[in-house]
Amino acid sequence: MKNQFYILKGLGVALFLLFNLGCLYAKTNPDKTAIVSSDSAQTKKMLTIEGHIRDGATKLPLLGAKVQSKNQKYSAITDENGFFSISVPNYSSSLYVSATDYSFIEYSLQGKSKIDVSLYGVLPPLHEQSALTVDGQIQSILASDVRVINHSGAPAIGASMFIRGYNSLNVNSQPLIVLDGVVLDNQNDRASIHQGFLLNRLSNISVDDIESVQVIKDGTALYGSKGGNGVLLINTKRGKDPVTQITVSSMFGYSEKPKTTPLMNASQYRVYASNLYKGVIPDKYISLQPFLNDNPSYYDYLRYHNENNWSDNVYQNGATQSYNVNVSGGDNVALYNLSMGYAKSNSTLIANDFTRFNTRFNSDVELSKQFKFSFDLGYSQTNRNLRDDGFSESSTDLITSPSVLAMVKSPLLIPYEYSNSGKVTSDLSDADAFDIANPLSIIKNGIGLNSQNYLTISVRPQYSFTKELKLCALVNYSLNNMFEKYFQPNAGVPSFISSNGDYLNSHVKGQNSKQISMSTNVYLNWNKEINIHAFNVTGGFRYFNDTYQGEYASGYNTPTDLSPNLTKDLINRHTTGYDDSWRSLSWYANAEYSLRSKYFLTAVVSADASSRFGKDADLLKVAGLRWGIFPSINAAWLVSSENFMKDISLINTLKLRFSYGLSGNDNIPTSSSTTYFSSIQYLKTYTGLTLSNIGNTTLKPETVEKSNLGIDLNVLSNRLSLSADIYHHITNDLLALRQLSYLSGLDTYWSNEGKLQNNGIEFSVNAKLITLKNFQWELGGSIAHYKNKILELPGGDYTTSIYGGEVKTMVGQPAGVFYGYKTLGVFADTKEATAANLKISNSMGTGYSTFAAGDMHFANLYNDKNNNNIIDEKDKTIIGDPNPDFTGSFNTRFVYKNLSLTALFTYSYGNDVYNYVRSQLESGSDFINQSSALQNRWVSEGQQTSIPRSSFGDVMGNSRFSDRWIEDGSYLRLKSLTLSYDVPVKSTFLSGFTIWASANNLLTFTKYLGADPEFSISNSVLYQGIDAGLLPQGRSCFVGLKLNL
Amino acid sequence: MKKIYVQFIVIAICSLFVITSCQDMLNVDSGRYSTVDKNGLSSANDSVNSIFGLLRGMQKVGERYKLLGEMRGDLLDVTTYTPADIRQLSDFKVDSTNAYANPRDYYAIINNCNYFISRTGASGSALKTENAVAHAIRTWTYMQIATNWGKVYYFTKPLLTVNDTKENYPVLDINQLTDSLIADLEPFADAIYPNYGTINSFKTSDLLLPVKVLLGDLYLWHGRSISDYEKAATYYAQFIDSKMPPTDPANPTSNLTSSPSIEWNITNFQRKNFETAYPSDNWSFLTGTANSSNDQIIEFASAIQMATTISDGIVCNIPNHIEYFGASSVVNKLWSIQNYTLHYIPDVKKPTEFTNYTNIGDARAKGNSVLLRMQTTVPGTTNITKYIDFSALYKLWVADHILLYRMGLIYLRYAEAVNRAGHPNTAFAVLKYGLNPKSFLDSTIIPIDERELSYVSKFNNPKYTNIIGIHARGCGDAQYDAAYKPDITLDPTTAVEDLICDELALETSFEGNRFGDLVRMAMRRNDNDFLAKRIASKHEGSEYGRIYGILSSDKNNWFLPEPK
Repeated sequence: MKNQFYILKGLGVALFLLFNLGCLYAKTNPDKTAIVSSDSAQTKKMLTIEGHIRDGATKLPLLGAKVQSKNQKYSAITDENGFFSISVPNYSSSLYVSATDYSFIEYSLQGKSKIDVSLYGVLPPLHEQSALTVDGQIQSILASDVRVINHSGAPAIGASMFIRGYNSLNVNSQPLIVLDGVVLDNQNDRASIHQGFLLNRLSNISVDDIESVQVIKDGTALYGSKGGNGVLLINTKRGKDPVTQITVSSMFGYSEKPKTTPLMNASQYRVYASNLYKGVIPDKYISLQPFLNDNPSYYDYLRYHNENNWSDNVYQNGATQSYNVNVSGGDNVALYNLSMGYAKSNSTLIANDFTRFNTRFNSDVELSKQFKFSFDLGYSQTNRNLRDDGFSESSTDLITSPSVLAMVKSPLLIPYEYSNSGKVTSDLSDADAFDIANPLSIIKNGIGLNSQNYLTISVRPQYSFTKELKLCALVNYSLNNMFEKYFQPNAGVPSFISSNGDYLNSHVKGQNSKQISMSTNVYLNWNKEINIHAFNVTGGFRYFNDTYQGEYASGYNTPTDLSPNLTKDLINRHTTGYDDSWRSLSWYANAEYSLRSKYFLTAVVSADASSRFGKDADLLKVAGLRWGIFPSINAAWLVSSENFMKDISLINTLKLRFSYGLSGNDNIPTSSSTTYFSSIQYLKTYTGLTLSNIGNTTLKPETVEKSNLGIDLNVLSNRLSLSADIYHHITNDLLALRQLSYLSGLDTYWSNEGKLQNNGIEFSVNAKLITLKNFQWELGGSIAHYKNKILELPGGDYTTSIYGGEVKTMVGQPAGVFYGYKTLGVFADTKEATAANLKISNSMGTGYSTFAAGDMHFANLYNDKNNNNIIDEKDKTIIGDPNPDFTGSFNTRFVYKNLSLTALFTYSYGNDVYNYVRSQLESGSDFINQSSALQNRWVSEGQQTSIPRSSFGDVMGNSRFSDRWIEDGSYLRLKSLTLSYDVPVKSTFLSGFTIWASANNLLTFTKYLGADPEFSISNSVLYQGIDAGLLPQGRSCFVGLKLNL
Repeated sequence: MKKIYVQFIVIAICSLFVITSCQDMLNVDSGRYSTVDKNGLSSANDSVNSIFGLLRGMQKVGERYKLLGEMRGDLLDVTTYTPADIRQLSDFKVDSTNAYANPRDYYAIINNCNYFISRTGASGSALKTENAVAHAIRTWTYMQIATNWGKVYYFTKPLLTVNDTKENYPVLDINQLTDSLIADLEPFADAIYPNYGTINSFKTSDLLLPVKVLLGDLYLWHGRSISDYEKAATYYAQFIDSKMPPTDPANPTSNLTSSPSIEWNITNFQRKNFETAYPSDNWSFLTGTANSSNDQIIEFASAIQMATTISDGIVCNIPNHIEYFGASSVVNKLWSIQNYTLHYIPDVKKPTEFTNYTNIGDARAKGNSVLLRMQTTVPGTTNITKYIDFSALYKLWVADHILLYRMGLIYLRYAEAVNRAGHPNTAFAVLKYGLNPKSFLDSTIIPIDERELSYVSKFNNPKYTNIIGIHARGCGDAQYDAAYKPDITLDPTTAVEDLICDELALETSFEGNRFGDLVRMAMRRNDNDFLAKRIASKHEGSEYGRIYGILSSDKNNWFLPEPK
């Protein structure tokens, strides 16, 4: 303790010195600068450069183009003939050339004193105007940098994002989101009570408020133990200009009902279901089944004799609207940007919608030359109506998702009752004889709510001691409140018997939570150029404090559907809660150095401590804490600025980049390093205390070692730009859940072990193909490839059961591979089946059942004396890999005068999908409606088909997890097609007017049999590539307008 | 001036970091749990919570107490509905993935006990009485592991770190374990338990394991000398005596109506009893805890109280799956070959006594089975139902709670101890005549030299007047059944023990103690056949041979495999 005190004291003294030296420096510095500048004025040798700047398209000279040195100390402007002359220090290697409405370029001097520069008109920025959330934008703009997979077609549902493969296996693998310099916890490890819905805090932010999104893939050491999965820097709009600017934008959209899987029609279902009864009940009863009772006077005849397409009852055409007003302006003391927005989107699934109200105020105040501060405030409220979406993970759960019910419910039924006179009434019918709920009852009588309030307040004071030295701070407070409610009605839904014999009908769930995040960042920045040397050094301290508190309760059997509330009278009640706190501390330093603006070197180091680390972790121990140290180094060489390049006129810019560094992943589940007791319920009114966790005190963050080699190349007068990267990542100390010895009485503990590797390449290209005065054509594309491989697993290989399938984690294999049975087709006849003579042990464990004609022929990969012809666990093998060979996007843009047309394609190639939906709709084992493919099921001896016979309960396991359900999920999608027109306006109050129209998902090329090849049921690595039937993304179109006042 | 002001702010910020230590900055807390430092168990309130934590631990293994104790024995059999995991228990084919094969939940109780004991064991601790409770629960749990897995990892320190869980702990077999447990528990023989009042109609004392019975069991298992058995008999006798309602010294027979006199005659079936033959007349915890004037209270000794709904806690699911279980041919045969004896004097004036036998067999058979009709819906339909008739085991059907000890069992354990202490006559008297003042008058029932033994003389008290033999409970006036006697071709101790073994089956079938009883007797006799034959007899055809082979060849095969 005493030691720690001294260390702390030392630390304090060090800090004290640091800041006081800063002040001291501030005092003395002006004299020093004066000397340096007078010195430089005398000693600097100046170089005069003359040149000519013209429009690349028209070849006409440009008037008023700006030419600057890199530090903006020296500048010149072209005359009416496009000529300029500028004097710069003789070590200058490049000039920045820019002009209004033209794209800016960095021109490499290469020792030349006369230059000729062509500038090309800038095209309006490419972005997904119809997106409600930033994930949609990221997908279209940054497809080569981030692999973005939309969760589903639900509005503002969000996406799984992966930067450069999977850098973690069992804990969060999503990038760190830094919003206006503040780390945003995206609640990846929190769950909603609504099936198929994933929490997405980015949906609280309006796309209209976003100024820029930037991806940091390497050199993330600055974010230390938080940057292992890469970083997304998102900045919101700020006031730039004192002139008051008002922008009003609005958008209207229409989404088409999504494509659904073709299902059996009523007559096909009738045959299927009656076949399924054979052997289950005596034949004499089969014809008495209501749907087979064809006597029109039978009281239930009408109910079971319809032809219904249930998807018409649950899907609709969706509508979206969004409005946003943005006001910016100020004076020479303060600048501000104020925005307000409202968006509402009705999903294509009836009863599902999303509403957002948001407002944000960003201000920058310059109180004096030395002291500035910013004050930001953002508030948003989102409300969603939801119903369960997609299949639930256990196939024995009651189906309550209207979209799934629309697939599985018999087409013989309709959602409404018939009156005695045979007319369809408006009364909703109850669950049917097949024990399947009426989806419309869940839609109409059910409840599903998620509402969130998000408030963020940031203050950023900044004090400049001198021009070069400043002290900055950022203090943020954020609050995220969430309220969720779920009610599954009794009406129209079958009741079921729980494991303890209770009849359960209606089901209520409620959850509310509150997350408060506070963070501080204090740093000193020193920025200085000394002749050919430029320095930019930052050192600081960050502190994060988060709490997440919440409560959950559920129960069954409300008195009526009219009181859908949690009360003490419910049965099978379950309650739980959360109270998690975590804090972390980080010291960091970032030093950038450039020589002649040609050679660049950046060194970064951060030292992080966290409440999540174990107190005995194998990390540096200082001041009583364990610190993870994350250094990195970046080097770049602007080759094109070298003199020897001057004869290669083809190349305008050539830059080589190299980086190596460590970053980490500190998403160690909270409290997993603590041994604790928690309270349990003993009988009705008593509580007890029991040991519930044995903490691993050696837990530390995962460490990701990243190296990257990159090249940027601009050629042909900057008309063709290329960028390529090759990287190698290794994640050490993977966090894994391990089995505790049973002597402890507890199940698992978290541990650091295992090693993972990601190698990959990324390539992007952009070409200005045609650059005429009134017509431009640009083409851009990107391709990204990663190869993920598990290098070490000290605890051995293991499988994880997900959606009835198995995902194998195994050394030498990529993460997430599917592990199951291989199939060799269906036994066409008894001869084939007898020859194979394969069998399985029966469910009672009392004997064996033999595969017969019409059963699947599973590959018997393991055979020995004791396991003769038996299909069991040992015959499983790797049957698919959800990792794509490559992903990316390409776009093409045509601009004619004020009219522009943009097409954006995204693609994924070589990824396998486990089509869980098909495994249910082609199982042929239950009375749920089946895919129309089942018309080809085996029915008679000798029939050649790929679909086995149907049999109730699937005794032989024909529908078990096998390569039958693994498909190629490759696709190419015309993600969006946008036409935009800048209306030429000449008005005193209207300075700009743009109207646009856009269509999404117009075309999708894929062999995938499911409704949509793009889906992600979870952000977790092991859940990728598993299609649980979430709402497919369908076609949609939008029109919008934007007014600048 | 301005600079000084700024400098001041800067210094103030710096001081903030200096004043707050880094460690404090990262200290986090949660209202959802209590760390080891906080759970110091220094107040009575903490301790009550921890005892409830231990009791809940026992609830978690309650169902297994029955399943492991009976499915692997000779009395309970599978049916066509029995799932694979339970079937494996019956067939001695348990693999490591079997849901019942992992002793984790048992060790969870032990680890929690260890923690509790380590924090409250200091001399002078205010929680000395709770400490005894934890010792008793730990003892019971270790014995459960030993009887089911054949050995235990013995540790008494709490495992609180991952490294603790990786240490090597001594492996003890049942014999070695009883050494340790006797030493551990004996100091608490006379401990007085805390009283938490009535918990959902269970008295505190019914929930907490009786130390004397546990000590009796430990000595019975230990069984290396006459003195072990004498100690066992003493502890059982002391416990029985403590459960007997005290009599008024002035009027010794005044309180006799409340003495236990469980008889399985036909009228008894209609009376509410702890096991009745009438399905609607459920055995419930109420039966065991009814007011003290009710005779049934004395039969009941200790149980694991389970929740009635899952909203309230852990529920025993055995009654919901009654179709998984059936009586074995062994127990059915055993019941049927018993004589039901009626002894009567038809005419008071001409006092001639008659003894008749009826052919109903043991009346306890009827008390154990009931015909149920189960209605199930054909899968995928709601309108076609099937009826399945099956003979349900009543004791399991009403097993909302897990009975651990009752007087019938304790008397039989006492008899087992007395027999091995060298007094087969007295032991046999427990079965046939009951230890009551009347039996003490007859030296052929209780030999004169045995009457003065401290663990026998207790029963020569008017308060035991109504006590009958355990065998008489199901077989009427067994004391008059001349045919009911030990096999004279065997040595008397073995012969009486065989009868005790049968009586345990007749009286305590399906209550969870069978497998342990067979193991104990077989180990004492060093006779694998004793266990192998009885258990294999439940199986038919080639299975008899297979299971007999497994069990007779190696003691290790008796036990569940050690999980990986």
